[in-house]
Amino acid sequence: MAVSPTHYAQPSEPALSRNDELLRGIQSNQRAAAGALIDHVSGPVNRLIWVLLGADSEHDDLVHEVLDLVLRHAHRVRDAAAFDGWVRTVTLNVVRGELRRRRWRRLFVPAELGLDELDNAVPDEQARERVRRVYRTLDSLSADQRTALVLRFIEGYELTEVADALGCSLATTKRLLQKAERRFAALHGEELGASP
Amino acid sequence: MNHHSSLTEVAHTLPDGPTPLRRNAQRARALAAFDRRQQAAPRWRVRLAPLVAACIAIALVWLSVGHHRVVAPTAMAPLVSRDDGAMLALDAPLVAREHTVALRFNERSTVALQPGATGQLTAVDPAHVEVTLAEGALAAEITKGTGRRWLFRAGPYEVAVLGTKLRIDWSTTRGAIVVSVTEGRVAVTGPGLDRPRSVSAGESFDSALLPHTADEPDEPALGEFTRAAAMPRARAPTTTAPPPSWRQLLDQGHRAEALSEAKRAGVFRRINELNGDDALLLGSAARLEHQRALAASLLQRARVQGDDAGCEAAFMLGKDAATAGNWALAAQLFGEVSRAERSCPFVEDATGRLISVSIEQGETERAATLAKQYLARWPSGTWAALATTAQRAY
Repeated sequence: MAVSPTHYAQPSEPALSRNDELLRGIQSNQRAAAGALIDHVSGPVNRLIWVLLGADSEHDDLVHEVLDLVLRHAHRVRDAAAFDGWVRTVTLNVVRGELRRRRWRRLFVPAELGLDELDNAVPDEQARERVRRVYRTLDSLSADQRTALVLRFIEGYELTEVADALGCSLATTKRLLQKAERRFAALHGEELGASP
Repeated sequence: MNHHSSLTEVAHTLPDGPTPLRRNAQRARALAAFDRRQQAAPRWRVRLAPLVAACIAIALVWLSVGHHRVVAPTAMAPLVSRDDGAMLALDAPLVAREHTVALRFNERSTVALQPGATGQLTAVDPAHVEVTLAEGALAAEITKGTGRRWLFRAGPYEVAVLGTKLRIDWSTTRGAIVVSVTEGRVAVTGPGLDRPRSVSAGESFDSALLPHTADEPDEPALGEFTRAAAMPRARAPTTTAPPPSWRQLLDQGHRAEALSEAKRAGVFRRINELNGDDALLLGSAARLEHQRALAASLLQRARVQGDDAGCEAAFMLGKDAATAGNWALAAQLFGEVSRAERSCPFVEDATGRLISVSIEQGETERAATLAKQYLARWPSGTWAALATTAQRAY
């Protein structure tokens, strides 16, 4: 289901106050604050990794990496209004790093077997296969192209929001997206053509 | 179907994320890592406390014996800030571009990097302060009577100060230092000096004017003592802070560098000496860096230590065995985790995966039994759909 990037919008007053409280708690290393922080960020973090990687078998490990980084470094975030954006940046950096490593490894190591998480996530076989094809195509894009495409067309981010998430100018983001769309269209057409 | 609609279909087809049960397991795992860090920190401080106390005691003895008078150094390390009011972090680089960057100490000493200079404050404690000048010039006014020893390093040279006003110029291209003293006295040591050179008020020392001997290793007239005095002090490069530990690198998210540093420090030659938490930390990093063999050794070490770290390690080993298609090993490991204490956050996931592995192995009776047990405990679990199918089919 489509999800608007609600966490991207400037936080409301109650949300700011909540963020402020969380940050103060984590600065004094309180366990309860750590739990509350995880509860606050777990949804957006899981969602981003889920859509970027497609119910991946290493999903939980990557979520853990992000949560661990957030708990270790949240005490450095001084501005409560910037906290949610910072968590998103950490998440995107972890995922993009993982995507780059996988592309490198695929040059040398054949694709690995593994238990397919999509079986549990999408019960309908045909829908599952269509989703699988999309992610196989996305695997052929660069980390930045994939991220831009997923944020724009699956998560429904505005162009300015994609640019902000990637840390690029709007012009660069537009060029990146155009290139990503062209490449995806060409490869996905091949993918669809090759499917029985 | 065009590519836009393919992507949009994913948005509508894929659920929002993993099940709440799986997110609970993520939460428990993250909090377990948080708890381990909290427990590790005080032990580190407790081990270091006697060493710090010993250093302060030695400094006290040196000061009272070396100066033939009882001088109690200020009990606290001086507070230091930059002239823009920001507090200074040790080893943080200081760069003076077009303006002077001044460090002000609360006992009224000042160290001013002149425009174009770079340096670092490398040590501050009750007994001494060390400043490294990487390039350019600094001017210093050091308050007398604190009993604190000041040391300025510039390349291979050291300028020891007790209370004085001085200027130090250091050029890396010329490899030369100039020390000018306007008040008090300093001692300079370094290449070309076989004993400390005293520089008093109104005097200057320029190393470029020293006769060259240090660059002629075959010179037969150089005896052992002189050769040793001509060599720079055997220290780590003065402009480089000590390398971060593997823990610090992991803390900063630099996994590959952390593993390299742990290897360099010989940690992997002594895996059997690692405690469960450290073995798990390094094993997780190696796993995410796809260093399979290393990850397996480290996680196995964590596994045998038991407790929460052992449970998590066994679960990861199980996942890796399944990835490699080693179903027998995966079954053994997931089975172990599924029988673990309730506090282990991976019991549900491991049990579900064990159902799947059992099917892969053709162990249909086991799959059906496990499926029944799974559904009894976790009717809405991540693997509920598979468990239901297995129970019906077998």
